[in-house]
Amino acid sequence: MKNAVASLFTLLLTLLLSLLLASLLVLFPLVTSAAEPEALLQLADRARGGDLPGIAWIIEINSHDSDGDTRQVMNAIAVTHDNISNTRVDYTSPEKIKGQRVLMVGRNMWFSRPGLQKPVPISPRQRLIGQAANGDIAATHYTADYNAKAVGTEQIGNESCVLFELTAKEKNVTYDRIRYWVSEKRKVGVKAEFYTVSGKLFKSATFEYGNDITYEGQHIPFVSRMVITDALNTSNVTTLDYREVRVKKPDPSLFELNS
Amino acid sequence: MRVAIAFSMLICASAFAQTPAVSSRAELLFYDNTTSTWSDSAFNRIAHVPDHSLNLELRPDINIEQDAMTAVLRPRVAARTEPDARHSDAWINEGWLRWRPIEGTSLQLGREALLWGPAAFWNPSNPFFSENNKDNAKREIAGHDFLRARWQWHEAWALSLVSQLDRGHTPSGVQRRDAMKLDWTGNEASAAALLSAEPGKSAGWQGWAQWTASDALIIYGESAWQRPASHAQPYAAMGTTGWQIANTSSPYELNTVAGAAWTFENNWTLNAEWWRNGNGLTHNEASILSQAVDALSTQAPGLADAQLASLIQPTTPLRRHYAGLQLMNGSDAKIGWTLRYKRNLDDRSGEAFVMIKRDLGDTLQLWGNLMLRHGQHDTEYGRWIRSSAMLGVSWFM
Repeated sequence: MKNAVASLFTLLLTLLLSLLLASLLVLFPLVTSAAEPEALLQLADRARGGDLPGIAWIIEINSHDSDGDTRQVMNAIAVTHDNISNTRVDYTSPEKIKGQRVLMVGRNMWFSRPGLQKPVPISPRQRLIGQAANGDIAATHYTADYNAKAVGTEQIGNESCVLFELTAKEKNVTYDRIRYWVSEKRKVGVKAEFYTVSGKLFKSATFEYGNDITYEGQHIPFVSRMVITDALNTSNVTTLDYREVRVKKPDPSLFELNS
Repeated sequence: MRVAIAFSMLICASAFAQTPAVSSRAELLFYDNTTSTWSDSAFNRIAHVPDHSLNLELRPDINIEQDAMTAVLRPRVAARTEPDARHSDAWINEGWLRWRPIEGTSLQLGREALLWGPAAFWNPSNPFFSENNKDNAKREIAGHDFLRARWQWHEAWALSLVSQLDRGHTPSGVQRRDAMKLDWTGNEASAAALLSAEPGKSAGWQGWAQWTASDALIIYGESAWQRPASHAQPYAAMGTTGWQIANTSSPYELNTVAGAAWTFENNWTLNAEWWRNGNGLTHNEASILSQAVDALSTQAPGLADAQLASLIQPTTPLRRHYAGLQLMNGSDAKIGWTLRYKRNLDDRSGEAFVMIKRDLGDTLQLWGNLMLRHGQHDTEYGRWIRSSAMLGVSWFM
């Protein structure tokens, strides 16, 4: 009798453990599949300056619209702490805008230029040139700024990409909603569509990754070109070329308003 | 002064230790300036405003940077031709040395236009500069001589000690003033608080704050709680002119600005501001001022003229309540323009500005500014200057 009870107990325990194991086997893939898109988006952010201790780069913006062609060159430095991104952009060319500066500390933005002297607060919506908003020249932190939902996979060119629906966590980000295609293989964003609050598509962008940076011993592909196209008039195109990218933590005082 | 020399020598010695990065730019401006006054103004007889002048200005900026050091030099050369006079001047508008000995700290010495505050029309949070140059972006504010130290111990927090040692190229104003400034910068808002004082005088509090409420909306404010500088106040008295002018000092007053900026989808930005100038004249004081000006303007030159001269602008701004609107298109526009209007709510006079610029390639810019005023002859904007206009071209090098 005693042996029979012990056998029954052993059988029940085995059954219970089997059920538990089976449950884990079923649940575990779901857990990883929820974490994987976020990790993918984080890697895509890193390839556009986010999630790094600090970065410096040169940006050349070429804009083509009905008014003609415009070219601007600027030095940018960026640093991130506690999910707050700071970026300083100093214009270097052409001569008429040399010395102008855009300073972004979180969502606070200021513009200053020689002669005007006093830094003027500006909103994230203000465009720098052509289709490029202030937010486009800053390091990208979609994981921090947006609620991301992977809604499927699509082919962009020859690449299989995860399509993310990004909705702004706060109302003060540059774009209210973004559809963002991230390459599964390269772990970089290759295409984005930007939408207004009313749900209207107002511009789209494609990305190239010809740069390479080294961070914590790893070689990371880094954005080299962003091409922004106006949704209403597709002949209005703005190209941002990124070069001389360096991972470098800048002195916090470089982001001082009166520096 | 010995501290300044020692600091400069230290900076220079360090700067020459390695090869610094040098960058420069320059702007050559040639412009015509036309000014007119109200024909019935009492001040026409004592203050001659040239109605027309041709101006040439060279504004080079030189930056020298090294790892821990930055040096900036902004010398200016200007020449002006009026119908019956010629003037020329050369000065250092800004020139300073900054040393960052360890991360998060900086020590800076030299002449600079140390401007701050989010408001577009008036910045009471700045005790060192009573005006900004937003009314005319082509007119530079002359720098004052400062020694300042800054310590940023946290990404969001910084403490600055600022001493104005001299007013620099500015012809009048306070010579010496010290301030302690605390800056905070969060993710979507920022603010600063100051405690400042002239040596031997009572201290004043200043501060500003701004909040990026959405991608298009910025809400901001500035305030000062301080004892204002004394101003000329007339009163009827026995004597040659029947009036005496006394320098009166007000008790602590609150100066404050509240405003908001909205950026439209087309990249235009509208600023709306209301401000209270506690240091301004009350209705009664303004009425007495007007009576004195009217009475003095009918008297023989001499003492009456000297008294009139002291009453041109007893306080800046003159009265207590104002509102302002500013609309500007985006910085990316080929033709940039700004429209500004400020209104004295106490005497219902006003001032309108139009600023326009047109790029002619990458190095040339055509620009123009127009200022028009309206108001009765005893109001702030109707009492003297009626309009001014500038038309010029800038060559960027």
